[in-house]
Amino acid sequence: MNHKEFISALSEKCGIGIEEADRQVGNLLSVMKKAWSEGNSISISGFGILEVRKKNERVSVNPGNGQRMLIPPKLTLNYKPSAMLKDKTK
Amino acid sequence: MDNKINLSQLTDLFCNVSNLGKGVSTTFVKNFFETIINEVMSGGQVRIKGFGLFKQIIISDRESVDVNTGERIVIHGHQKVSFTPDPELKEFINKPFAGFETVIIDATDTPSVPAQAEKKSAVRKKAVATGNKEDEPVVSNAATIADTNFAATADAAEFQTTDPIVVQHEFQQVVTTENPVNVVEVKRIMRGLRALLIAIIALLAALIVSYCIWPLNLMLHMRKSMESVENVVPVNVSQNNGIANASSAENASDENTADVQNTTDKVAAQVAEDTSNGADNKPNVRASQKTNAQTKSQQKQAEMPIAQNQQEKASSQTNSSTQKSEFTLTEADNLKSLDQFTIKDTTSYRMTNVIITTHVLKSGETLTKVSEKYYGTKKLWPYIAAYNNITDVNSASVGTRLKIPILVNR
Repeated sequence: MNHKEFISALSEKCGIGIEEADRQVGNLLSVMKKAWSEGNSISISGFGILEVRKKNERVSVNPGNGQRMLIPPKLTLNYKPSAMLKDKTK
Repeated sequence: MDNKINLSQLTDLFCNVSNLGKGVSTTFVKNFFETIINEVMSGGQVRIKGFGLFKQIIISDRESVDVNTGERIVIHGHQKVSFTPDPELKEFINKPFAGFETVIIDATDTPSVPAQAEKKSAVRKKAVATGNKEDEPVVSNAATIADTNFAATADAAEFQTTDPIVVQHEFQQVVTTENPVNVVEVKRIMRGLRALLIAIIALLAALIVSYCIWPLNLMLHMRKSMESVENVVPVNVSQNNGIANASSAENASDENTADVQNTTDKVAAQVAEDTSNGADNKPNVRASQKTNAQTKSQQKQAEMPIAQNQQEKASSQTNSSTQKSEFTLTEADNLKSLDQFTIKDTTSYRMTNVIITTHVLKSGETLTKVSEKYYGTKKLWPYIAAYNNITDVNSASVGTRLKIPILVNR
């Protein structure tokens, strides 16, 4: 399901237009982004947890030429599916 | 900060932003997530622009050990939902650490790290081992920036690192001081330079002191032996000023150590030669030989700090007669004209410390010639010899510097 399909499915379910749905998705995302930037995680029951996690810097080696490099630390968005989902997919 | 926002909270937040009614917004948010789940569950994937991709992953069976019993068991394969955020979202999330880049580690890099708090960490050790510390301050600075800007990062514990080996807090504590190795090396170099400088100064001081003291030493000795200055015989003023008016001896003589015995041997030899050739003067010369030897011995004993055995001189006079080899023809010719002065005169002088000049011996020159040049008479060569501590009077080498002292009447 690509973006278009997703929007159309959403608009259908909510009873709002596609354009509106598209806009609202944007709104929702910005809200979520704001929450993440404040360091909060979003936990939806039956869905999972969307949180920001830090990955430490590490030294890695280029296997081809053996060159060592230092990869800097970074923050990543992490999704952890809920247990319910796990059962379902089983 | 560090809060878990649940569905209702999120809905509230969303409601505020969107212009939809509360009911609609609730539905919207709820449906948002449900659509994703349903799609993924049915095996599909959902891609939302600005968000990311949700898809299903199949994890196959794997063997493992039962934690309780320790038996080998099989963990059955299952499906899992995975989420990959869009690049835009990734960038947004990683904003606090946006300044970093992957740096190639070169072992020869010299660290140039500003001083910061020092704490041990496995990560720092790793970085140290690789030799590249350039990254570290940037990392730690950014870490501090991240702490302030990105609220979640203030407490490292909030973030569960994906690297199991590395301790959580290490990142924020990855700091270095000014590389201690560099500082130590610099200090070592400075110490070495200081020591060298001190050594040079000490050496110079020693040289200067010795240069000053040594002549003083000689002067003391010379002054002791000097009696009051009397008339001096001026001879051939045009030629020389070897025998000068009385003047206080200021200059220091150079030769403190006198191999007086040898000198007087030569003296005696020459005198002996003189006597052998100048028959008329034999008795007188012989007499003067002895007197010369005696007076010279007295003179030298008085003047020279090192007293030699004067009796040996006298005894060796006979031996020295064998040293004829270097007696030049001109010497022989001049023997008869030696008596510009009486023999007595030759003993009546004292050497002063004042040096007229320095005469460099040329090939074919003898002491007698030098004496003649500067004193006007050849007879006074012994003074030159004695003054210059010439051991082998017959064979002073070419280029020998002879210091010609001013002679003064006793």
